[in-house]
Amino acid sequence: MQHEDCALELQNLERHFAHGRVRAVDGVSLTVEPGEILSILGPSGCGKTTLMRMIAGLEVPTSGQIRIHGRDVSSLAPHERNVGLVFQSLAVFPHMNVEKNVGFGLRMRKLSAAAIKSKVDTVLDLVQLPPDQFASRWPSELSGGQLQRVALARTLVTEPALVLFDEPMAALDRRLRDYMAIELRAIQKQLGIAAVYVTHDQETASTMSDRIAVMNSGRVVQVGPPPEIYNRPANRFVAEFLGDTNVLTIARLHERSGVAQQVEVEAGQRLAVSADDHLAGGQMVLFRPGQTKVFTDDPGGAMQAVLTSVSFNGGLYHWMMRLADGTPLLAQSTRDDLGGVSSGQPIWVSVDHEQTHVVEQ
Amino acid sequence: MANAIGRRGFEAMLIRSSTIFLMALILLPIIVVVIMSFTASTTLEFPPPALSFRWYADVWDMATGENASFTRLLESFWVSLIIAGLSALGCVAAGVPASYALVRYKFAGRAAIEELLGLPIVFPAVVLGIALLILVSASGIDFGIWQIVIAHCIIFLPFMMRNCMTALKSVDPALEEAAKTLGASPLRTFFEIVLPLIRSGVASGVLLVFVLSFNEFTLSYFLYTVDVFPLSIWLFQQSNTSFSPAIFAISALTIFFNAAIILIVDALVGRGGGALR
Repeated sequence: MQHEDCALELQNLERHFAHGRVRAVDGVSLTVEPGEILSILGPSGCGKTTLMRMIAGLEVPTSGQIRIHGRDVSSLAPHERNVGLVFQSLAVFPHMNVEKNVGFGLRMRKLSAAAIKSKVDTVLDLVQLPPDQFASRWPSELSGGQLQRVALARTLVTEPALVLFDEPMAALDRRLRDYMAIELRAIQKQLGIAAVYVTHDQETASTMSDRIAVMNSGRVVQVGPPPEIYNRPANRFVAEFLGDTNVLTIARLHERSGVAQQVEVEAGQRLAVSADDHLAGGQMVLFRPGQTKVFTDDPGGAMQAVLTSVSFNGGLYHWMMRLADGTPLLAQSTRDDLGGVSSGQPIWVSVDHEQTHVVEQ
Repeated sequence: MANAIGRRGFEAMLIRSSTIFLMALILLPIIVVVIMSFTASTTLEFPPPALSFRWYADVWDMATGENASFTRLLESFWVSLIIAGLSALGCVAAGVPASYALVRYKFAGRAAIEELLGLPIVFPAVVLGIALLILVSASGIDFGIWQIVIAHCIIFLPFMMRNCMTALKSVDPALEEAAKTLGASPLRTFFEIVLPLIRSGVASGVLLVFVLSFNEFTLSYFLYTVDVFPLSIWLFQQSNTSFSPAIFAISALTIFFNAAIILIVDALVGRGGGALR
């Protein structure tokens, strides 16, 4: 099936190294809608960079197809694809000033000097580098954030069919990165260019994107909007990659009652999970620390645990605890629910069955 | 404490005096040549009893006077200049693309080629001279000036390539990839991005090859002909037959000429490179 209206469509894309022994990208199929930002999120070595380089034409796929706005570009050279790429190292040309850097793509497209000047000025305004101040500056005179904007402007000014971002903000500090992520999204939405943002940073991915594709070992594990990926992870890898997660292994189904079903976890204690989850052997229950409630007395139906540590940061209390078999759990809350309890003392922990999520092991 | 300071003072003195000694050792022959070129005497007496420009006048006469066609000094100078220029051009044409291939691409035998590049530097020039002479004679073709140019390209290419490869290794491959994603063809990328960034490396390679070729003697000695008579051979023959202090004047002029070229290229590349910051 072909989608003529997709900005980008990958069909079963593969890239092997070392004569097929290493499958850096192992059968990836993805689509990006026009005007959409899709983040490819995964740990280093998961194949996300190789995937992105294949889309740009810098790496040749072993098999599979790449379509941009319905056109098969799989066999085209990078300069024939009209795909923009903002590099991790930014790759701002050191021997050209800002104006020459940004105008490079337009010169390659043989636009007139006047047209280049006007387009460069417009895009420099867009990325908040006023041309009268910055056009004649050299890269060595710019800060990290300003270089970032030059690299972005240089790519956007050529009006590419698709923009790829290779963690271009990795070198920036946290605060600037968050700010740039929001600004980048605003610019992208304003121009309506489809974008693929490759990163290992789940916070940036969540802030930036309409959808996230989580990659692991060369495969796409799950694709969806950030809340869906966070709240309904497809497996333990996705759950753990998107933030702290409590994981309990299900030993057996205990009983089923209306909207919830009781399971017994390996620690020997009982937990209610949503009745929507289909229970079979060898599954796990996942739930987020923020959804985990702690009590000083048994409120009924809670699991008993031993408090191991308490800390406070980022406006949240963090309680580390262990179940009877040693399984660690983490709970977080803005309120000090365990005031007065010290490490080593028994506490009770529960989670609403609506907030649990059962996945295959 | 005093002992330690004294010791450090001694070490500093030792380093300074040995440096001065080495510099003197290197510069002494050149200084002697320059001083001798200003002698007023017709003998090789050192230090000169009196100073004059008479031997420079003599050289001027050898180059432009009525005996010029007989001495062939100017002709030899031009021959050396053309050989040096062509050798430098040949080394650029072969060396820059070859360096690019060696730095950017992985292929079988790359390591072996890199090793081979160092070989001509340790290879005895006399042996290479004999080998080339045999080849040229066996071919029965008159290569004219090219037989020395080709010989110089062979021995000086490694100097060119070492400079280019060092410069290329400092160019981030992402810069080239960025140019390509912005719509530059591979050839355009090379001329717009790679060449400007390795310019100073290429220029110093050209300079090195030019100066080395201009002064080269051993290979030229095997390969010169009556029509292709480089300055180094001319100087050698003059000093063998009629040793007049004019030889010193010519040698001193050669030294000034080499120094001038180095200073000019350095100024040009240095200024251009300044834009890179």
